[in-house]
Parts: sequence; structure tokens; C-alpha cells
Amino acid sequence: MKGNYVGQSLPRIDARTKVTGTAPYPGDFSMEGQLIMKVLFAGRPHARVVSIDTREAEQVPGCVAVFTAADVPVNEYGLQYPDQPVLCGPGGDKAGADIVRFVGDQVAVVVAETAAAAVQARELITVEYEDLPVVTDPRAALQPDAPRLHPPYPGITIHPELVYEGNIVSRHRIRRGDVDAAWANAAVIVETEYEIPGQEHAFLQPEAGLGYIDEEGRVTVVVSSQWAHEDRHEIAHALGLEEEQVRVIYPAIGGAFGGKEDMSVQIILALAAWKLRRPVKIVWSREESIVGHHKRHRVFARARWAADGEGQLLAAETKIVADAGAYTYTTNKVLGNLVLTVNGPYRIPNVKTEVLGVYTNNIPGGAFRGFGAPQGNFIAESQMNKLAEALGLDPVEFRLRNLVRAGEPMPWGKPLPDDARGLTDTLIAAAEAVGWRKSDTGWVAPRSAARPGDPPALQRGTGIALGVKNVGFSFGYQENAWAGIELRGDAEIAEARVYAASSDVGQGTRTVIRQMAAEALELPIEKVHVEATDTAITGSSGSCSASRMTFMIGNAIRGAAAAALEKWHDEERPAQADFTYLAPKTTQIDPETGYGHPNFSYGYVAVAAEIAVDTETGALHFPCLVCANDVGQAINPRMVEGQIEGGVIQGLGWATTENFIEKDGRPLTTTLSTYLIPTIADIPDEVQAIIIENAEQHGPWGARGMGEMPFIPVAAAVHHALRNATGIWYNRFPVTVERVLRGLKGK
Amino acid sequence: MRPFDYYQPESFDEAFKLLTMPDKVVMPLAGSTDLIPMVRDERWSPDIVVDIKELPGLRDIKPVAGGPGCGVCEGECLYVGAAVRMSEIARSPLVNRHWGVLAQAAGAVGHEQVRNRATLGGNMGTASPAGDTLSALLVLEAEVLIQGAGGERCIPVTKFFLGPRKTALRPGEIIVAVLLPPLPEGSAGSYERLSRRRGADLALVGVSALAVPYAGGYQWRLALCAVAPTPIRVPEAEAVLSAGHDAVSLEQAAQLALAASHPIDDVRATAAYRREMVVRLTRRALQHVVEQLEH
Repeated sequence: MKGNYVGQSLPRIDARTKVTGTAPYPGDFSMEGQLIMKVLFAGRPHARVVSIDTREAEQVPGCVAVFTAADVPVNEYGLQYPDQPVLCGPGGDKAGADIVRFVGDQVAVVVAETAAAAVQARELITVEYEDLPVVTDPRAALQPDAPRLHPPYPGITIHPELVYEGNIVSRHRIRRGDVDAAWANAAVIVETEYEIPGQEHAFLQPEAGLGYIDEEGRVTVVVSSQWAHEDRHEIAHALGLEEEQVRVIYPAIGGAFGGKEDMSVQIILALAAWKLRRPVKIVWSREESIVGHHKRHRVFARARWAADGEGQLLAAETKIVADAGAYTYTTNKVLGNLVLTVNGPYRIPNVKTEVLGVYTNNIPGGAFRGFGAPQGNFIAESQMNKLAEALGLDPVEFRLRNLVRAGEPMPWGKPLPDDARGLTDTLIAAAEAVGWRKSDTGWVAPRSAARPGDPPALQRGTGIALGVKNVGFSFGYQENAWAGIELRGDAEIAEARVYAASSDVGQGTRTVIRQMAAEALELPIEKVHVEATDTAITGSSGSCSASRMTFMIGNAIRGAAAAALEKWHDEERPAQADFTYLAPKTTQIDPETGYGHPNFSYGYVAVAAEIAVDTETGALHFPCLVCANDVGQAINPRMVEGQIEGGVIQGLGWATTENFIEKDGRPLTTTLSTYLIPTIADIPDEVQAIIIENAEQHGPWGARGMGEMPFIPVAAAVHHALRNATGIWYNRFPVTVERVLRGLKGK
Repeated sequence: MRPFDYYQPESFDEAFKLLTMPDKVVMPLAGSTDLIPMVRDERWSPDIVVDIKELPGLRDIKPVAGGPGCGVCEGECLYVGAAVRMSEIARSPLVNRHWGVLAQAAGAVGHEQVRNRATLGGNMGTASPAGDTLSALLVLEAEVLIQGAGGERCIPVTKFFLGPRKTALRPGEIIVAVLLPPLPEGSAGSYERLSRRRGADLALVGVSALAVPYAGGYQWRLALCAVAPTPIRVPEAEAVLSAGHDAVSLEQAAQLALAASHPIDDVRATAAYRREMVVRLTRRALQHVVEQLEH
């Protein structure tokens, strides 16, 4: 529903400061008398810390303190389960906290008057390690003789999918019908092993922050992450403080993509500032960032799917082992989304899915745009394209025959909460944009003919994939978001102040908040000011992730605006109100059958890709990528287009050039000259963003989440296009130049 | 990043005083696209950095009649100052007139922002085996004009590159310019390179090919980068091509280029892939030259 401000492409409120370079990022903050912090990372994938000797380091002139495990009051951390020490080493009472389990484990932090002194002191810390056996393949970590990476689980159920059996972190299952009985009726069966890579977030701004004691005695950190109140909770827990004694402030944030959900510098900054009562600053280098934060989960999968002669899906059996790396992080939640997406939005009577998240000594797997859906989507959509081909059916036609209709159950037994017409709409829009046409007998794919001037070695192809993903975390979690509004003035409202703890990671949430508040208050937008994200002045609006913030905060703003206007009409000056929006109820899914109602809203998206392959070198070129996304209602269409363009290009990087290499638990691609994200020279000639608006019944002004959706189907669409260009299913990626060529040579 | 003292001298005298400061680690700086990352990563620790961009003549592109001390440069050479930026070389009408293979190679370095800073002299001084412009300089048979406190000298580019990051520069010397010998009308050149992505990535293989009219036929020159410790010429292949550039000779030349290559395995690509690309990129470079000759 368009309005005065909703549906309008207003300029971002931070555009000027970002373009002119004055926007303050965490690394830009300094205070008088501040100290500089440096982290001593483990640098080895699995070892017991026998001893740490800091005496020599402490003698360095300018070195103020060296903190180790013994200095952390409650030496544990974890968004889902506290299995990671804040600092690894002996001296605490937490079992297993003396073990380092990946290269990025933090062993000590040095705080000094200057960076040079901190570096010098760090070099003089003597750590005695006893190396332990390393396991880096999650399939090997499942074997009975594999080294066990964590102490036994105490056995308190936190989430039913967190099982902690041996190295198994989490298990998800779907059981529907009887797959074994279905194979006999199949006209075609497609069975494939897939290998799906991890991915580094490569946000523009590496981790940084400033810690200090504020005027009210709170330990305060200025950092860039995604959920201020969760940061506060984790800091308070580790420091043994009340949450009210901790304050978290988010200034401008140079990207996150899920990579700033877990703790990096938050706790150690607060620890040092609290102990020393002085400001402490840290800025990570790119290499520290790449070693120090989690990655997208690597996934190994075997999928066996069947369809009958009419082109109807019969059965899908999929087994997945995901690399959780050294710690749980959000593995169970990521894989929860994988299990919901790995069978696609299709009517499949017989489904058997098993998804395991497994500890290894690699860098942990964690949140990254799409949150498990990209991996699930790649498997489902590749299976669909293969089945269509085996049946001799057009892949668009085949999908349309099998899409769930309104009210039909998904593999988890419940239908999508809306009529899901966005699935059909986005699929057709993306297909038509690259030349699909509807004929009397159904949809027909474009022919990938050579174009004038093409060298003989060039081959062209077109591919397509469809995607769905939940909005919000849910699975029974009561999704919530807080917003506050203060109306000032006398006879007329002179000014509205909006309070929301939303993390502007680059997506423009503060701009959208302002537009929605002006709309809800029916005020000229110039009168609306969005306050800083600061736990001292706001309640929790939840995490800026899971494509949830616009949906959640928009509803919270509507509630707060209505309440504030009521007080205004009751002559309260200023009129202040806040409101916590609670999303519709959901349930967990059953650990054995997967049955449940895990989410209240979904987003729908399709991607079509045109590829040109240089068959002599393996080099890929993309003339056109199309993304059609049902966003319900674009609050700010230009920013939605920005999300679509950024999302598909990030997906293209994952599919093609981003090759994160770890050898024996040690990352080899710790710079942006070895780990290659797409540059402006690598993006498609054209990215077409198609915005589709089927209103979401619970969304503010009909909006639904969209931040992750454009990323999700890209890899599968590229995979399909590459198949159509070369005749080869690669089944693993990134399809680097060298891998493309190896495939062409049949290796 | 370890701090250093920065100077931008405007005369050679001043520059060489700085460059020969005793007991100091002194490094020249031109585009700084290599030096700054090396200092940041603490692989280099200069005490003093001497910015040479303002020295007389270092940013010139100009025709010159022979070079001082350079016997081979008879007739009109092209002088390209060491501090000329890659983007200027790529677009220069003078460079493109006869020496287009260098313009192509300069246009393949890094990406636009890098090309707006990186210089020809810097690319040479860094002497990375993968330096894009280096194989082009080899086929153009450039002369390197070098100056130090003791005076000026000029050496053929074939004697300049000694190993990865090793050159014939003596302590305190800097590259002043390269001199590109004249090429007759009807010459044609091509630079082909491959990297894992299009923008800002080191070449996995780079190939420069040049055909120069000679005695009723052509004298061919072929050079490779990123496949040996230094950029290399491939005289065996050149001999075959100079005897006649039919399809068979082109193929033979590509195989001889392969035989001359000794690429490595690293995180960017395997040696096996690089070897295969030597053959294919050489073929392409040669074909592009042949197409121009036939035009």
C-alpha cells in the first residue's frame, strides 16, 4: 500500500556523510587517554594451552595489561550454546576452556599506550601448546575414532535440535510418507552428490570498536554488529555483570551480512575497559577479520529425488553434513533454515531429510545472508533442473506443475501462511525477462544461440532457479521488536523522535524507519528524527538479520505511533509511547518428523542467469542476471533495488570466484587478493531487478522481508546456465576458471 | 604500520643524497601501490621513502632521438618516464602509435584505481614475475635508463630482471625511463592475459607477441610472464614464427612457449592449469597479431 512516504524512493539519510567520508564508523572513534588493544590468536587449529607466560610482555614500556582466561569472570560465550571460551587457556573453572579449537581462538589480549607497544608485548607472550589431533572434514568427524572436540554435553535441552552426540552439534529431520516405497513408481530418479562451499563475508569494514566507562558508570562499547541488546547480554554474562551495567552503541556500520552476529571484539573490549577503567580501542586488520569471524557453512550433500511420468514429484531423499567448525555459533538455526528450503516449495508426497551440523577444527560456520537457505536452495533447485531435463520437460513448466498451491502443505506438514502466489509470479517474471515464452504446450526456454562476433570457443547458456525463505528466526521463538516515539510541540507536532535499536548495516534501515514513522504519524518527514541505536535509550528491536527488521520494526512503529498520537490527543506534552510488536505465533518442528509451523511469513524470489563460457580458459562472463523478488510492498523501491543488485552479485561471487581455502585447519586465503570477491569489472553487463508486490497480510503496509532473498537462488541458476552452456553438471562450486576447465576436460 | 620519513625531492642531486643515506633503509616510491601494502604488512621497513614523481622528466612521454648511452636507439625512440602512470600509458596516443602492446599490458594492470596510481617504473622495480608490462617491454626490446649518484647508465631490458623481486638496479639507483626503439610501419602486437577474475587480480599467465616487418617477411618476438621466475623471451618459438606464420608454426610456437615455461602451484592456480593456459593464450596472442597483419 503506497502512501506519502511508504513506496517512495527517498534518499538515504546517511548518503551525504557516507559519500563525503564523514560517517563515523567504530574505528573512527577515539577518546583522550585511550589504550590500544591487540589480540593474540591461537594460530593453530587444535591444541591444549599448557601455560601462558606474560611476565616479559608486561615489562614492555607502555604495556598496561595482558589479559588471559584467568581474567575473564565467566569465561564462556555462544549465541545458542556457550561452548566457546572468551579467552582460551588454563586458570579458569570452565571445563575445556584451556583448548584452542581453531586458528582464530583468542588466547590473550594486550592493552598498551601505543599500538607499537601492544604489538611488541604480544610478541613476548610465551604460550606453551600441546598440539592435539586435527579433524577438518565433517564427514570424518562423524567417525567413531575421530578426535572429540568438546567436553560431554551437560544434557540440558536448550533447543531440541541441539543434540551434542560425539561431534554432532545439531540434527534436523523431515519424515513424510515413505520414500522407499516411492522409487518403484518413478519414471525418473536423479541422484547427486553436491559439495557447497563456505564463504567469507568480506564486509567493507573489519571489526573495530571503542570501550569505555560512561558518565553513569556503565561499561560501554561502540562497535558494529547486528543486535545491540544481544551484544549487551553476552558482554554482561561473560563479565558477570547485570545487563544494566553494560551499554552498547552502534554508529555507522560498514557491512555485516551475518558476519557480525557473533562476538568478535565486543567482550574483550568491555573486559579491558571494565578492568582498567580507561578507554580502550581496537581495530582488526583484514587478515585478523578473516581469521577471527565465522564463515558460511560448507555442506556435503547426497540427494535422490524422483518424479513420475506426468512430471509430478514423487519423492525426495536428502542427506546433508554441514561443517559447523569449532563452535556452535548459530549452526542449529542456520541448518533449521536449510531443512526448510532443501525440498523447495514443492508438493512432494514422500520426503526424507536428514541434516547434521558437525564440529571440526575449521573456522566456525555461522550466519551469512540467506542463513542456510542458499545451501538448501542449491540442492533443491539443481535437483529440479535435473529432473526436468530427465523428463524432457521445460524447467519452468516442471516447477509450475509442482509448486504448492494455496493451502497445500509444505514438507513440514503446514501450508505457507499466505497464498504464496509470489512463487509463480517471480518465476514467470524472471523467466520471461531472459526469453522464456509460453506456447500452446507450455513454457519454452530461450535458445542459447551464438551471437555475431562470438569467438568459436564461446558457449552460451541460460539458467533459472526459484527460492523461498522465512522472514525472522521463529521455530517457536516469539519474534519481537520494540520501538518508541516521542512527539514534541505545543498546538501542533513540531518534532517526532523515533527510537529503535536497529542496526544500519548498509541496508538503510534508519531511512526506512523514518519513512514508516512519517507515514504512521501523518507528519512531514522533515519533522521525523531517528535516534541512535544505543541500549541506554532503546528497548530491544531484535537482530538485523533473517530479513526481519523492516517487517518487525515497521509493525512496532505503527503501534508506537498510534499510542503516541493518542497521548498527544490527550494533551500530553511531550507525548511519549513505546510498543513491542509480537509476530504471529509459531512452533518448533518435531525432531523426528519435522512437523510444525516454524514461521509466520516468507519471501519469494526467482533468478535467471545468462552465461557465456570461454571453453578454452574456463573464464565466465554474465551478460544478464535477472532477479524477481516478491517484497510485499517496497517501502523504498530504490533501496530494494540496491538490495537486489548487491544480493545477486554477492551470490555470483559465492558461485564463481570466492574460493575460501582451508588446509589442515589453516586458512590460506586471508587477504582480498587471494580471496576474490567480484569487482566492478566482474559483475554482469546487466542486473535486472524486478520488484513484485503481493501484500503480506501481517507486514507493515504489506511489506515482507527481502534482504537475503536475492542471494538465495543465484548459485543454482548459475549452475543451470553452466550446464546449458557446456553440457556439464558441476555439482560443486565455486566454479573458478580452473574448475570450469577441469570439468570441460571431463575431470 | 611502522612510520617512515617521506621526501619528495625535485632534483636528482637531492634525490640521490637521500637514496644513499648511510645506515638507513631508503626506498624509492612512485605509485606506492606495492610499497604501501608491503610496509603495512611489515614485510618492508623503510626508514626513509623518497617520492621520485617530481624529478625532472620522470612523468614524460616523448619522442627522443636516441638515448644517451643507448646504442640501439637509433632514429626516433619513445621515452616513457618511470613515474608515468599505467592509465596514461594505456591511453597515450604516442604509445599506441607503434608500441600498442605496452598500452594493452598497462591497461591490464590491477583495476582503474590502481592504474591511476601505479607506474611503469614501479612495475619494473617490483619485478614480480607476473608484472603485466614486463613481457611487453621484452618484445619491444626496451632499454632501461638508470641513474644513480655515480651517473647514468642504460641497459637492455633483457638484462634487467634477475629473479622474483630482483633487478639489475644497484643500491641507490633508480629507473628514470624506458626507451622504446622505433618499429617500422606494419608492425603488430598483442598482449593476452588471464586471471581468476577480470578486475584487480594477478595474471596467471601473460603473453606478449609482436611481429615486425623484416626482409620481406616478419621478425617475430614472443615473451611470457607469470610462468617463470622472471618474464622470459621464447627465442625458439620466435625462430619458427619468423620462418613463416602459418597454422602449423603457430601451433608449434605455442608448444615451444609451453616448453619454456616453468609455472608454480599456488593458492591461485595449479601449475598444470597454468601450463595449459600458456599454450592457449600464446595461440590467441599470435592469432591476434596475424589478424592485424592480414588486415
